[in-house]
Amino acid sequence: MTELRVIVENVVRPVRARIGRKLRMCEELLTHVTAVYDEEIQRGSTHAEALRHTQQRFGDNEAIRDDLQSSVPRWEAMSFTQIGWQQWSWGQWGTRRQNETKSHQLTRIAVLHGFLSAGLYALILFAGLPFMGGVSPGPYQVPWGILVFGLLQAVSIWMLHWSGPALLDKTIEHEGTNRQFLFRVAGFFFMLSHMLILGLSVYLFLDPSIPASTWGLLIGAVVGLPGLFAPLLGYQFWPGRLVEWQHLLLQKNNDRTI
Amino acid sequence: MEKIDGNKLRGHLDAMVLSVLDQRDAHGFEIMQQIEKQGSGALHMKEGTLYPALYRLEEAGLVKAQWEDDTSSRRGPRRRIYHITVKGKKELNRQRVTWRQFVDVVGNIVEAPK
Repeated sequence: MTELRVIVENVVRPVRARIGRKLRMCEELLTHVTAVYDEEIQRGSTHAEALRHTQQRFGDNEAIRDDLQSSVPRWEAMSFTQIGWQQWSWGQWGTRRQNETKSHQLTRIAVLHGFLSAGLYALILFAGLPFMGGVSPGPYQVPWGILVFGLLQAVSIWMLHWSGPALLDKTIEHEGTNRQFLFRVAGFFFMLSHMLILGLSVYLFLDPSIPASTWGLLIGAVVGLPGLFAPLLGYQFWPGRLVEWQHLLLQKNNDRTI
Repeated sequence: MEKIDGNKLRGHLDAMVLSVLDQRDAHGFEIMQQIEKQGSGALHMKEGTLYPALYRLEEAGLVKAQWEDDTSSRRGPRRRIYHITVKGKKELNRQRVTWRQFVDVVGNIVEAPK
């Protein structure tokens, strides 16, 4: 029942915690308020009265929210505290605009991250070159390296944003250790591939005498990245439970998504 | 009997939850019912406050929880069944000793004859 979900979501949504923990809170608190509501109906209350009594019995939203927040480990709460640039980044670029297709939204995010990554890579490269005694890149090697790195980042971010949320929904919905494990392994390999690509690209684009086998490694990393994500993309097509909570209309000041 | 306000219970909620779970495994709503029943209806607690306490206890390893397997016998979402751990039993015993000391000491003062 939507009204009962709203009671719960008003309390849980602003809590700074990982999505899995918040969904667990939502489901458990929903179980409780449903039981309270049923009890009130059995006592002869009307629907409206039962809802009012349920809210009264449940308690003050702010007090419970603070209590729930205090039950979240401090490091976890801190890592989900929004700071300025995050709000800018996701507020401006992460949210889907009106009439925008999902692929357009993802492409926009990916392009931004690609440019940012390429810029960062260029900075690291130019700052580091004077300290790499004797290394003198060819005329096209540095720009080519920056371009490839930016492109790889953009593709990776596109894939991560496409598969990540749906995958996370399914991970939480089933609470299956295997899926959680799979997700973590994929995340690990994702990071590993990036480190490999970063390391190899620095090596490849700065050293003119490249062994052929190194190119093979780079191509393996580039092809392997989508390969690692491929089985996980299947989850994209399974509906997730998170959506049920995300779209509830809540009281003011509680508009932070779960 | 005069109602006991939730604020007065705040510091004792963890011990009460552990004590209920020491009797038998239970889900949140059952724990609340049991606390109210054993408190002879005198405890006036907001029910939402139970869950942060349960999560704290779980985080501290004093209770463990798992989702119930079968929900076919009733309507509504799944329930999480809590049970007390060995560490939780030890903590409950410690809190019982502390509580008895508190009652003895404060009782002697408050109930001192004129």
